[in-house]
Amino acid sequence: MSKLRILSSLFCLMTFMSCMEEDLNKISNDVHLDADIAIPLIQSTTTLGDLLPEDENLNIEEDGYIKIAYREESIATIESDSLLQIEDQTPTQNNFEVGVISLSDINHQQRILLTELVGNLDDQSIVQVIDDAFEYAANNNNKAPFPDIDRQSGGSYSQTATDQFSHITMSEGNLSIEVVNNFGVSIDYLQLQLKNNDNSDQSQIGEFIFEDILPNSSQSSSISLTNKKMYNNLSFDVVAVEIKGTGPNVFDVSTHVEIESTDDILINVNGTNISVTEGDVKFPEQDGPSDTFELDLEFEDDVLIDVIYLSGGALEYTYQSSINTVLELDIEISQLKTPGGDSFKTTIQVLNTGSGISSTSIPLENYRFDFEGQQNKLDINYSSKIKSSNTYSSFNQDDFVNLTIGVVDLDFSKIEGYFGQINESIDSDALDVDVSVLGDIASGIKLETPALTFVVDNETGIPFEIDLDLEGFKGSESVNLEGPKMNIKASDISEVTYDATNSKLSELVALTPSTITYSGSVTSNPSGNTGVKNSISPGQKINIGFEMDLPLYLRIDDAITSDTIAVDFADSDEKPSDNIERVSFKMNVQNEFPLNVDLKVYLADSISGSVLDSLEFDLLEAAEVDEDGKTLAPKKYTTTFELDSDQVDALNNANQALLDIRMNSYDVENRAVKLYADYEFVIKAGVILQLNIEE
Amino acid sequence: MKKYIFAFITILYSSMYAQSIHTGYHSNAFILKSASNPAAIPKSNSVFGVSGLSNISVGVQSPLSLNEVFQKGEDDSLRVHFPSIISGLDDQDAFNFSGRTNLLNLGFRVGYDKNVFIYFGDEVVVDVYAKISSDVFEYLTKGNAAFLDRQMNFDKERIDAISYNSLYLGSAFQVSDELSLGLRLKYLSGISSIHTEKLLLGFHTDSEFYQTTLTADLLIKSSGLEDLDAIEFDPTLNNGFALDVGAIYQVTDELELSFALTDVGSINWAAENNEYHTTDGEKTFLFEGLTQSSGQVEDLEKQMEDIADSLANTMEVNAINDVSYTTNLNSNLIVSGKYQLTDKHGFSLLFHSKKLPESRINTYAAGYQLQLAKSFEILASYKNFNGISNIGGGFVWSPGPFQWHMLAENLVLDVFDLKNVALHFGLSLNFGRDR
Repeated sequence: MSKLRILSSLFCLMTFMSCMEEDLNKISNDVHLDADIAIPLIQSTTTLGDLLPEDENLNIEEDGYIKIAYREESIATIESDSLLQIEDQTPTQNNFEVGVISLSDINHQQRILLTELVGNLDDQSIVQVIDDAFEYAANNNNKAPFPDIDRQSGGSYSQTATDQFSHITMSEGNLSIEVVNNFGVSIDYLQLQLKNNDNSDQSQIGEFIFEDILPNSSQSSSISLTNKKMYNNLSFDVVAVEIKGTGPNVFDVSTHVEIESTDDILINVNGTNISVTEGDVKFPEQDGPSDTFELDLEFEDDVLIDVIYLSGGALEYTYQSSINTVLELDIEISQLKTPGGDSFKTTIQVLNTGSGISSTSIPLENYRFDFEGQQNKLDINYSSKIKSSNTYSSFNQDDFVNLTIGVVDLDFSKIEGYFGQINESIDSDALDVDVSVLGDIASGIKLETPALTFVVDNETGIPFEIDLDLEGFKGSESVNLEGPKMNIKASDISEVTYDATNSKLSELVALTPSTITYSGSVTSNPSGNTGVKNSISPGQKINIGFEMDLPLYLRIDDAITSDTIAVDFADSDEKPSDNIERVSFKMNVQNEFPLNVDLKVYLADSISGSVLDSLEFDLLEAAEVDEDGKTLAPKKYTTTFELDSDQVDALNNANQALLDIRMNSYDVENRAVKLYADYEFVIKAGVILQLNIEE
Repeated sequence: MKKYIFAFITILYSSMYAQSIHTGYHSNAFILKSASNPAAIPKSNSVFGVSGLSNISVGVQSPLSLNEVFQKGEDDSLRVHFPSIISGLDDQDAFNFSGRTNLLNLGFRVGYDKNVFIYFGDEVVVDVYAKISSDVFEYLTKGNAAFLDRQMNFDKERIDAISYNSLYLGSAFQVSDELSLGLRLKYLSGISSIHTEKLLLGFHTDSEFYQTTLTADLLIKSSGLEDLDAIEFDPTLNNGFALDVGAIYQVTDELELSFALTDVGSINWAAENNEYHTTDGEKTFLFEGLTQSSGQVEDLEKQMEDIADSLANTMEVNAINDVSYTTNLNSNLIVSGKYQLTDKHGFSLLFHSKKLPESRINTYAAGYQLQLAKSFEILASYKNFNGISNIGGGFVWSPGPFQWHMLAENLVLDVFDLKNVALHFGLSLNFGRDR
């Protein structure tokens, strides 16, 4: 029996399967594991300079200080041509008549032989008597009694008196006749009539009566030729002649006087001071009309030009002449100086143009107008000389020369003077400034030291005052700069700066306007005529540029920026695991940014419109700054925040995250901060995933 | 994750390790005794181990029982319970497997007095040692967040395994009636080996932002485990020698003292068959998460790939061929005493010290031998090593020329409490006068 027990024990001993408290089939392959996994997430170094939006206007100085600078060399350019133009001036016309001309004195001698005279007497019986007397005298030492000639006409005697004209009408002149009695007896009475001896005109010019002209003596008489017409062919009519002779008794020696057939009467005709109003004349050379007239250059009312240095243009004159001879016209413009410095002079040979005109142009390059105190006026002095002619030409005192003088196409190389107070408006336009980049950096930025400087390069010698109306718009909001007027010096570069002290530039920039418009007005010589000459030359311009410097020395007071980002873990492989019980984030931060940034994240379902959960944490704590607003030292701190399982679920179920970022600069109430591009915030973040694995 | 954890536990239990047999050291089974002490001399003139069956020893040991691995849940199911795993693992605990199969054993008494026993044979030996510390479990299951600012170095983990063929020639000499000495020479042919020269994994997670430093220093040598197609494996090149020595001294008729030193030798693993798996020294990889700089566009996805690549490159275990190495066998020292109280009852005490890759494991065993019949012996033992108690038992049946032994340890215990088990089986033929 004992062997049996032993064998039984041996059997048990050999049995592989033994008694078990538990059933192997109950072993479950389910696993429960609570593990906390710490994972370094990220080391993030964020440099402020890298956060700045891409913008060509963002500048970083050597020390890293950030500025937004807008520069435009030229927003407006005013060419000198537009400031003062010398328009083609209305030509000045001067019409002058040649007027009366003077003729040389007329000297003519008419000889009437005694024989001619006797032969023309009405009483021809005398002829024999006279012949007898001649005969008797021929034998008696040329002496004989001179027969009586009763008063009777003595015939007509014609001749050409002058070749100066064929006929003239005179406005003035004297005609004197001297009768020289070469008879041996007195001419008791002699009545002469001077007449034109033209086929068409035998009008009487004048009548002369002489009495008791002693032998070998003379008497003179004159008449006025005013308004008389006279031909060069004249005739003397002896209207009456009376000579009381010595008697018929030849034997009375006492009655004997010298008598010969050559005895005559000489009539010396002398015309003097003859002024011709019309006629057909050979022009004698003489001075013509002369005068002075003004050419008034047309400028604005109060423009007083001293000197215009010409680089182009011409003095143009035209004339129309009805004078049938050459008129030599001398013109002098004393204010127009030649390149040599002399007054301009020129001589024009004026010919009869009939109904046409003749034009002449004189280039004025390198000339100058020196008004010498004249008020933009040129004195044009002209004188004329009528040139002599060898042929008869018609003449009338009303013959004229119509002289027109003007300056055209004037280009100047320089103008000096006082150009007056000209007020021009500046057309409204937009400044090419988009300060919305500030809004891209952060909203609500109020800059401490913005500066808008207009740089006006005024090459002209004209001072200006610019009253600029500059206004920024953003939506329905607007801010006007309300800055002072700009005084622009002549021939200088003027800089006018608007800043927070003299304008509302800070407010305008803070608006981050999408559009900045400008308009206004420009006034030249704002102080009036101070005696300082203005000057301007071609090619000179007034260039208006601007520089807007916006140093990021700022305050941000509770600026809120919102954003929405899509969150889509629902269909993503990156969906947070259901095994995550809690997520604990830890961030070690070194922040040089002088900004406090708080972040609220609302996890929302856009379909249902419900906010599933929210997270809130301080993203950044501002670094302390010194008096100048520069960060003293990085702010070092550790921050943690947790997502519980509900928040993790919300993250899983949300399809969008609404970000609410609230930003304040350091100690915003008391100081401003400067932003430097090398500011960094370094975040070293890790996470502990509290896992609850139940599988 | 679940499948990985469970697979790990499964592997842990499947890669068991055998402990040396102690129950049969004082048994009548010659082959069993001779394996432990070359001074053993059979009672018969000749011994022939049945090919492949003469001696099969398999022993496994786990540092954890199933009760330490699983915990009953609310639904009465058994689930892996990591805290008990952690608490159940001691620094000395390891997973062991040992297996020996005698392919041939043939021996004869020779000499005038037949007091010399000469034998030869061939056996295949598999010896596996693996160790994983509780720290690893704790670290992996609690997560690194529980160990912030602590340097966690895991350098106790290792695996050493060897399999080889041992062609041996031995002799036991009966010096006197009291004393017998034995010597066994072994020509070893390595089949496969894996040897942990150095295995260090370190983790340090800083509390700043949980940046984690990984440290690795790995040098594992292997032979015969590579893709045989990849290298021209020639096991004959892995040669080594070992010897076993032993002595048995019969102090009195009742008291016997014995000493054995076995498996003193080494195998040189030829370069042609080998591969080193090494990190080429201590490598450190600092994982600080992704880096992002505002100054450059970061492709975070690519960065993650780069980090993974960098980690792989830094910690890459390079395979180096053509380097030979030598591994020592896990030698055994056995000192024992047996007191034969009566013809039927014998008691024994045994001290066994076995060299392990990084220490020695000492086992103290008490045995009981019951000669139930002339040809049937029952054996029982109790032993303790590292505080672990085991009981074993078996029998040796020697009907005629046959001798059959079967011994087992810990088979009677609740499998949920079981940490080790061993089985020895052998069949041999013994001819000649029973001395």
